Amino acid sequence: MRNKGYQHKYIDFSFKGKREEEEIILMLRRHWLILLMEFIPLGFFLICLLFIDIIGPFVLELFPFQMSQSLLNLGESFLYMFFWFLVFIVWIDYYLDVWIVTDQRIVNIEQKGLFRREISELEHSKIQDVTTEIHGIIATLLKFGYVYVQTAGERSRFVFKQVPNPVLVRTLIMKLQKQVIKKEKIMEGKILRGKFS
Amino acid sequence: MYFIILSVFLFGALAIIYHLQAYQFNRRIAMFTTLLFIAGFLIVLAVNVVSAIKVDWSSFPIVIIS
Repeated sequence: MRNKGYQHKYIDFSFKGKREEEEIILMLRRHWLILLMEFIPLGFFLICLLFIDIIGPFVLELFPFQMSQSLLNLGESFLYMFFWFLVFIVWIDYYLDVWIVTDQRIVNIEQKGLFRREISELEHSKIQDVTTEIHGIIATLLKFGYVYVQTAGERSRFVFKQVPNPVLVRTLIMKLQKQVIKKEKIMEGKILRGKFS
Repeated sequence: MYFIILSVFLFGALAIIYHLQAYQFNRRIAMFTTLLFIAGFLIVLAVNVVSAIKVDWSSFPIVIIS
């Protein structure tokens, strides 16, 4: 199958376990709104830190604390460091959760915290059905939702969570599945003809 | 105490850098995010070390310094 448009977009991308002849068709992550929602509490935390930065020296002057300005600065710098770490932990949690659709299979990589990673894959030939779900006003307006892939394998359902354009994703997976099945049938036909001719 | 806390943060920084590099999908993006993290971390670390130098540690009880 020639997927030159998608192939061009993901030509510099790779993942562990990618087969040599495999082409990445699509790499999906959760919708950007989900990431933004996770950054909002961090934004509030940053505002509190800036507030402490501004108010701190005045509080030190007003009250007879034995804490020096430099000790306050030291504590604040640790908090800023903690904030910077949180930003990247949230980013890693978002960025490393990915659904990769190739011309042969679907690979789901889920990062659960910093030290736990779950990888599962599903061959297109094992797909039985694909359904989508878009739930809520915001999801409907921004067009993101869930894609459920029903399988014939050990794991009965593969779920794409909160991905953009789930309907297009569904259409693409169904198209790839049909192409894989058609290819397999052609191969079977060739084998049979070769056997009986 | 200060060095213990600093060690925890340094270890955390290494863990984050490891994840950014080991689980990359695109070399350019991985390099960019890693460098961004390191740059921000070094800036905050510099402020932290300078603040620590300015603190009068002798005014604290021994148990806190250790």
